[in-house]
Amino acid sequence: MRRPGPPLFLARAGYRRRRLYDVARLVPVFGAFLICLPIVWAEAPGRAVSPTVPGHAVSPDHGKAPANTAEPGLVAAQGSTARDGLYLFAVWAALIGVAAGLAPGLRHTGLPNADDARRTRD
Amino acid sequence: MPFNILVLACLTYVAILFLVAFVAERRASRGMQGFLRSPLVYTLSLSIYCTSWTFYGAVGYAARSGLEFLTIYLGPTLVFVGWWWVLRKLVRIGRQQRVTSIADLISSRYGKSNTLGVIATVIAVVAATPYIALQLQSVTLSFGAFASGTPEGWGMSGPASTGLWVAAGLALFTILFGTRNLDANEQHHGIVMAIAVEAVVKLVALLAVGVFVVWGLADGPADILAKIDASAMATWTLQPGRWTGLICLSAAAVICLPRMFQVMVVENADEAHMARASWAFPAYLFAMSLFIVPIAVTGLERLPAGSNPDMFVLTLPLAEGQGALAMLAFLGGFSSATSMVIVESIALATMMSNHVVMPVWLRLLPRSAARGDLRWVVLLARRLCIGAVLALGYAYFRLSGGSGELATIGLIAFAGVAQVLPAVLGGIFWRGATKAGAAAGMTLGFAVWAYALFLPSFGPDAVISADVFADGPWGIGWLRPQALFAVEGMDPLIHAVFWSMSLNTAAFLIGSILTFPDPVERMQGVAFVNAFDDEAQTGPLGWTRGQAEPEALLMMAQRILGDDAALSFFEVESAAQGKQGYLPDATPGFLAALERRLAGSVGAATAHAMISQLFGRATVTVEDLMAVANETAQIMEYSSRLETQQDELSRTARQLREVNERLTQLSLQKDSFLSQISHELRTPMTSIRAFSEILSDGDLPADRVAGYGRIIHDESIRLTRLLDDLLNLTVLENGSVQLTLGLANLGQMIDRALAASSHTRPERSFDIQRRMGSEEIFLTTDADRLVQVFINLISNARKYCDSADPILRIAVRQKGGRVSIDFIDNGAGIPREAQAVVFEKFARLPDDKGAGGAGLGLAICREVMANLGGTITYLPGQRGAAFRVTLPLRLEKRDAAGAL
Repeated sequence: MRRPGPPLFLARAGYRRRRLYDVARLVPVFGAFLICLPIVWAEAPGRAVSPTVPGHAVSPDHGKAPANTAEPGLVAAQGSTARDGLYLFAVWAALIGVAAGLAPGLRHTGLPNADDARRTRD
Repeated sequence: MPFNILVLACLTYVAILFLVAFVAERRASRGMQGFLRSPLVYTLSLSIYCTSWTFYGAVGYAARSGLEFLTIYLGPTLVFVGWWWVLRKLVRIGRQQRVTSIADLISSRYGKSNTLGVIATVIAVVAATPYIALQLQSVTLSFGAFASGTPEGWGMSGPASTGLWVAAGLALFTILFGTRNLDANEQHHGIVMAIAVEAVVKLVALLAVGVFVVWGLADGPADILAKIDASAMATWTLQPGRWTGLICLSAAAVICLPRMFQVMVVENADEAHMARASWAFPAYLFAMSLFIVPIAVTGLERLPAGSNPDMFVLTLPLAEGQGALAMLAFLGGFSSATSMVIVESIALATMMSNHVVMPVWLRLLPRSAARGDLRWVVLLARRLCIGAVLALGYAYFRLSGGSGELATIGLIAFAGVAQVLPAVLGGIFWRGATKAGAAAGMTLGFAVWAYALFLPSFGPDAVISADVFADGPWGIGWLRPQALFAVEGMDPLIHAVFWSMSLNTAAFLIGSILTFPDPVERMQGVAFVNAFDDEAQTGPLGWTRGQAEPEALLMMAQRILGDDAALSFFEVESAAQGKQGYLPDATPGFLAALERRLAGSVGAATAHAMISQLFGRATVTVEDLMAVANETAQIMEYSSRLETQQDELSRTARQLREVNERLTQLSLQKDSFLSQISHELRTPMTSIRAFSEILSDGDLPADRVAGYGRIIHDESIRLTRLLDDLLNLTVLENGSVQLTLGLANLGQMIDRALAASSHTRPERSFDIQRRMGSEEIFLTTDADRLVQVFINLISNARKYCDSADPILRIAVRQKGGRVSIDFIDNGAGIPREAQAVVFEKFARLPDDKGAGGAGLGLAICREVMANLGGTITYLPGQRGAAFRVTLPLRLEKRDAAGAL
């Protein structure tokens, strides 16, 4: 009986390394997306139910007390400082964690010219 | 707390910093750099991003605008975790080009243009002014916060004079710290170490206050979260425009701030440190931000209404009676302010001296490049610049009233430095970016920033009158500073950032597309954009006109680098050239290395200008231009060259194959000829010997003697003919033959040849086909030699034509200045494999007719024709043996010679 061997692929290490570079490039993109996410729920009307902490409802008097809406023309809703703060710090910590995980792999291979410039590879 | 103790604490702290810096410099100068150049110190030195704006201002910002203060740290976090995009390349370029500042980077990228250096310097200095004012203001406020609780009050005449004292103290401090010597690399080990220590102090101080607030004043995190939800800060207004705008702005600023560039790129010791900093620096920012909201909430809750939230970090412990903690907080704030001011003013002073003072000095005193003491000039220029930077900061502090919110002032500075971003990013990623585009973009962006944000920050009627704010300049409504192009209702900061950056980028792109870069610019562009491609590092400009005396260069280098450094540099370079002593030859390579080395001290543009003064203009060599030329063109050229080479190779291979075939055949023929010729020579010799032996025996009848004598005679004639032929061929081949040129009729020559060759196999009757009319041609040639060729060809036909009714056709054609005569018979012809060698010496076809030639006839013909300036070739495909003789109508002497 023939067992399926590992797929035939040459230069496995180099391929992995280039994917690591891809991740390194993508991290800030995802980070920017997650950090800008509060905008989406800031614009959601009502905000009766919190998207991040289910079941934790914002008390009504907080919801309609605009502390200082300096720009009357701007449509903006109010968020909870505590909850949004926790969310942002969690995203921040995750970004740091991912960057710390990637850093050792990028430190040694990162600086030679193998990946850049005009050569395009898979 | 007594004011004097506060001052004493400050001075003690500064003295400790001095000690740290001094020890670090000592260790560095002894080469013990292990710890000094570690990723930890690098990361900690990056923390000068966190100034007193962070330390004091963030709490105030949070108290006023909720979580918006986080944008200032989230932007840099994104830039650092995304270091693979921009920072990695910036650091690589900075090290490759020995960049001394961000202005130097721009100047160097765009063809070492000092104009751009000046523009970037002006932007950096003007934008840094409010930022330095911010530090002065925070230190003044913190003094005030301490002093307000003491009986002596301020102890001085007021905040203005405190600000002045702080500014003067910081200037002195920076001058003592930063301009002790002119380092080769613009790296300041001592300062970096001191900043790392200060980074620890400010982090510890802020965390200590935070821990005190969370676990001392409240009952842990849960309690704090509840307090946040219960406080006035519970809800915050996320304005999408400001949220994204400020994140982008702070991300741009962390790249463009002169002090960040200084510690991140210029002071970088190892590119791999960036990998560590990519997460460690965001982690530092994270730790700094963690307790900001709790401190703000607690301050709002506990301190009397109306107290300045910018000072909560300090006033909260003071109000709770924690003197030691307040002292720590004060030192933390002091650290934040001093480290920022030191590095910022060093970075700005480097820019100003390299891009403004030195070029002006060299312009005014051109000879000083070779004579004056430049080290002294550079150091003095830097010291004056540090003083000037702080004086400007103090002036802004006084003009703006010293009362603005810290964060607002800081954001004005951020928006200002961000104006160099398009030129920087365009410069390192886009080869099409040009000097004109960068200048246009930076100038326009800077102007819009100044008009829409910086000048209004002084308040109405200070610089810009209130009328202009309301109605626009000269009543043009759409030019109102805070509603440009009639866009109203935007946040003033975002409005200014949006318009300045948009117009800046647009001008940069359009300017770059419309203009054409000069050669130096294109070379630098290639080197910057392809920083990771070693092949693109063609090195800087080639100095090709070797006129400079190495001694003059050494003197100049000594004045910038110092005696020892310059001498050892020259010695190393000299050894690399294989020379003894200190004076290497002024080769282009050496000059390029020297320029890079000097650029590390005085900036690329100045170094370039100084060498130019000694050396004349630099020239761009053809190789350099080739390197710059479009890659597509290069690749196309390369592949076409390959194609040509391949064609040539296959042509050569074909030729070689043919030659090889011929050589093999020749070798075989030579072998067979040798046996043939020995046989040919032997046969007559044998009969001559045999008959002469018989004759020498005597007593033979007379008729026998006569018969034998005739045989001997005939055989010796045969021998002689053979030898004559060989001799003839040798003479012809050596070209030593004498031609007797004359006018001859072709038809008559053919007649002679036919007559002469009729003895060959006279028993065969040949049908000769000629067209007499075409033969009426007069040639200037050697008739006898030509007839000899004809005889040979006709005799061959007679000998070898194997047809039962042999026909020989002689066709004459005249074309251009040449005549061709074809001799075509109707025999079997010459086999294909033999055609190539029939004209070689000793070539003989399989001889079934026993014609018995020596195989020299056609070889002789070929040599004769060559001597007559013509050719003889075999004509294939004529259903018989066919030879074509071609020769010029008029043979000139020199043609004959040329044909040899």
